Parts: sequence; C-alpha cells; structure tokens
Amino acid sequence: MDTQLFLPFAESVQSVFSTMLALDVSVGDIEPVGESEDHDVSGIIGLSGDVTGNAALCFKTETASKIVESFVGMAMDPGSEDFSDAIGELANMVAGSAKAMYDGLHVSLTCPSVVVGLNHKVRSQREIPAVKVPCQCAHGSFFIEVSLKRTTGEAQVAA
Amino acid sequence: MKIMLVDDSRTMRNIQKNVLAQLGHKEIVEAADGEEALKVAEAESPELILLDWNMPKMDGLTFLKNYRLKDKTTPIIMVTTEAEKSRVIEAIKAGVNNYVIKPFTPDVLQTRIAETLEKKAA
Repeated sequence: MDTQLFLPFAESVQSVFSTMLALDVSVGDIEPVGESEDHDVSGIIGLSGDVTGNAALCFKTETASKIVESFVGMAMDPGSEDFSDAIGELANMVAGSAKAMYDGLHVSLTCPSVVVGLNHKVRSQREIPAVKVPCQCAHGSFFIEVSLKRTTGEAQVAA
Repeated sequence: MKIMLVDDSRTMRNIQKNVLAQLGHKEIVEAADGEEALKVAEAESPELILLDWNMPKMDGLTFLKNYRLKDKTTPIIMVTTEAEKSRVIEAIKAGVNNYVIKPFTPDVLQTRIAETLEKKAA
C-alpha cells in the first residue's frame, strides 16, 4: 500500500477544520478498510490523473449537523440541499488540500457527491487499496475513507 | 461596487458574501458555474470577480479564458483548492489578478480583495 498517498488526508482534515470551522481534529492511526463503517452522511470526491480513486468524509447525522452548523453559522436540516452543499464543500477542501501535497503528480478532482441516508457504506473498487482515517473533534467522531492508487509517477509528499 | 461570486457551492458563496459585507460590499451578483457566470457578467458588468476553479458545466479557468477575450481589466481573484504552483501559474497566465487557496480565513480573503482593489485603483 502506498501510504504516501493517504498521509496527506490526515494533515488536510486538520488544516481545513481548523481554518474554516475553528475546530481541532485529532487523527487516529490510518488502517486498512476491512468492512466499511456505517455512515449517515458522506461527502465523496473522485480523483483522476496520476492518482485515481476517491476520498469520502463520512459522518453520523448528529456529528455532521454540528459540523455544518459550525461551518455555515446556522443549524440546517440534514435533508436540505444546503446541508449537502456544505458537506460537499468540506470534502472538496479536504481532498484539494491533500492533493496539493502530491508534489510532481498531476491530479484532478471531481465535483463533490453527497450521500445522505442512515447506515450506508462507501465501497470502492476492489483492486484499489482503501484505508480509513479515524477523526475526533469537539462535535464527535467521523472517518475519512480513502481509496487510491497511483497510475503513474512517484509521489513525493511535500513537507 | 458590484462584485460577482462564481462558485458551485452556495455555502462558499455565502461565506464570501459575509466577508464582503464586513468590507462594506453589499452589491453582489452570483453564478454557480462558468457558463452562468459568462451570462451574468454580460448582463451585470461586475467590477470585481471571485472565481472558483472546479465547477460543473464550465470550470473557472475556461470562464477566465473566455471572459478575458472581451474584458482584460476587470480584476479577478481565483478562490480555489487548486494550490499547486503549476495551477497558480496557469491561472495567472490566463489573466487572474490574485489567488486565494481554500481553506482560507476571512482575514486572508479580505487582504487579497483589498490589495486587488488597490492595484486596480493605482
């Protein structure tokens, strides 16, 4: 497994949450995804180019609601378009910040997709290595599930 | 001053609107992608544009190249997660005047807007 592809996500989630939400995030050990956790809200970004796969910010509803409230400054209905928009933008920033640490690789991001539904799983292509990054903040715990493989080149993660 | 916000995320446009309101800018027009932005720009003639890069239908760089065919002076600030040096250079070559990388603090956005408008006034 190419850990250099996954480590930037642990750093980027801390940067994005600190800057945009004034929330400290502690990140646990990155571990391979055996069976995906059950989630209620997932913001998913696809990556293509020298690195291909996807990255998902995955929450339980209560945690997602508190995080969105911190982000936009008001409570939102988890079923609303604006709630999904906020989750998608957070996922976009986390993936974008991680991508910026892939020095020398050309990677493009898709626009975010957001899934809202109780106890869903995020599954990726079987042949692409997948990890989960457990995260904890004042609003609760959540996961980043990242499934990526390099298609060309050698990733140099910027310091 | 009329300012156009171009971003597919309404959340991000609202955050930018709040920052602009703190700077006293309340005349805001919005677009959710590059295609819509070309139409809004034609109709509204904004004096400053904040532009996202990754958007559906038409991305920010394509909008920028199209817009600069007709308007070479209206200042444009790219506000994006695209942080690689090669991307920044690509945007500057296409005619962007300033660059803000997401995530950003309100202070950073305010500073970039202020310095962009100062350069325009000079």
